[in-house]
Amino acid sequence: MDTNKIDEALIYSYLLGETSLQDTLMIEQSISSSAETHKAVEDVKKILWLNDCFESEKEYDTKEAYTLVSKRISWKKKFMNLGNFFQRVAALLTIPLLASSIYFYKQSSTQTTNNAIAWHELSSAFGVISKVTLPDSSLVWLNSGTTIRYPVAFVDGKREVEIQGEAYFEVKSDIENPFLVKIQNEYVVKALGTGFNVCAYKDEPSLNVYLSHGKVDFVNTTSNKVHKLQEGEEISYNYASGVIDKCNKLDAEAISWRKGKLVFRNTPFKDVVKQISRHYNVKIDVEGKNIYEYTYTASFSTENLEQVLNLLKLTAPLEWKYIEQKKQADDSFSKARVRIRQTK
Amino acid sequence: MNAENNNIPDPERLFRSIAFENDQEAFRILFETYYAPMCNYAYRYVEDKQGREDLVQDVFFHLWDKRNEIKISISFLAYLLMSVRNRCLNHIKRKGIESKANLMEYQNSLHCDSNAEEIYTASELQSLIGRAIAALPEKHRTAFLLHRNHKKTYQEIADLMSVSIKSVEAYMGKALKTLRSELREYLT
Repeated sequence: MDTNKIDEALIYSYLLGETSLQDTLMIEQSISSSAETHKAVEDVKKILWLNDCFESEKEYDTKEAYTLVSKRISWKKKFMNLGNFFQRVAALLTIPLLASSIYFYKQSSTQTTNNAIAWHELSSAFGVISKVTLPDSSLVWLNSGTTIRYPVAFVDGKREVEIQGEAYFEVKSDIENPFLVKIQNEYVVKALGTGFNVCAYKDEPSLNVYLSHGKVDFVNTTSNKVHKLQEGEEISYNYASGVIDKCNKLDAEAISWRKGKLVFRNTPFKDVVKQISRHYNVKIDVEGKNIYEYTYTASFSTENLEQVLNLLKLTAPLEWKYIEQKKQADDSFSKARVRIRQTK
Repeated sequence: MNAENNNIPDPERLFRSIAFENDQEAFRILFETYYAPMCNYAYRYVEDKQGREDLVQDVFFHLWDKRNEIKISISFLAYLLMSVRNRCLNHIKRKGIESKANLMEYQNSLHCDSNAEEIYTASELQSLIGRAIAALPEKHRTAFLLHRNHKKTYQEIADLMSVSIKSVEAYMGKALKTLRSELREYLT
């Protein structure tokens, strides 16, 4: 029990370093033994800090500073090369499980008369689902970590895009001008007015195409083999073997990723990890070999990463934890990392 | 833990206008709201006022310049803090030991280091601490402001207020006590 009352006046003197040695020791002892004293000291520090912030705000001539920055911006504008085409790509704010829309602006309205049409390349970062409107007003939803390339305008009715990753297309009907989705320059998904999903991630062993409604052909341009898809059908083309080794009837759950859902249907653990890491933009290290034998059936929509991992824990002997992120020198920073370990 | 204030434009929405619609007016609003708080935040790394201001101006300029390319996966404010911090750390690295000493001094000082990522705009601070100080009894408020803001010594304050030094100490203590009570919800 302290004989002296530690009040705010004393705490303030202490913080200024002006208390006697005896008082200082007494206060420090009280800080470590009494929660009340500890809080009092923290409160006073906080108040003084707030006041300092408040006071020093007035020191800055914000309007003057803005004038300086605004001048830099005008200078830069003047010297930028506009050229015939000045396309701007909007940035994406990543909000997991929500879709963002991307709009395109043309600075000038002229088009080049020669064959060199500019192409847009748009990437949907990991953890983002984005929606793009194409020059013919067809719609594309890009899943995490997907890139799409398409021309600024569909000239002469030619509607061609290239993708890497997973995208769902709602294509405007145009019988005379089929819509072509090229993959790795070797495969083409050819569509007339229709809704279909293409899943072609570089790190996967196969390419999947799912037809929701309409008409779609899957063409292997090397072998010239064509497979006509039926509505509700999903085909899985294996790059290594060069054949379509799966042909399923699926329901709309197959494209629920568009709405930000994560759906597993007897999905092998390896693929679950891959999808989770894409969806939440997190690197996942896995320890333990037998863990890969597990398969999962589950559906997630508004759950966050922790909730999903905790749910997985319930059905398989695993534990997980976050690993510290590394700070980077530039404005970016490393992904969150998680380690999953098999337990006995 | 920031104070609620409906007058502050939502930084997420502002940034979206900037990135999607090249809205320089939105950029100006963002700048005017967060410039001073960011300079304050930078104080913990860089003591030199001009240096701090240059760094923060760089951050904002870069924000506008690369507005179409920046990808952010955290809150916009967290991104802004991160940018300022990284630029400050680079600055320290280049300048060497001189600035590192300031970092140490900061950590030992009165500054609150447990709430590293709290950022308050001028209007948030006004409604939080500004209002609380204005509500203090006159003598307490005077002693507090003279000592904290005007950096007067207790002797000087005693002379100015025609009281004893002991009284000035008591006024400071009472001011802090009242402020603790006024701000108790915020301080939990």
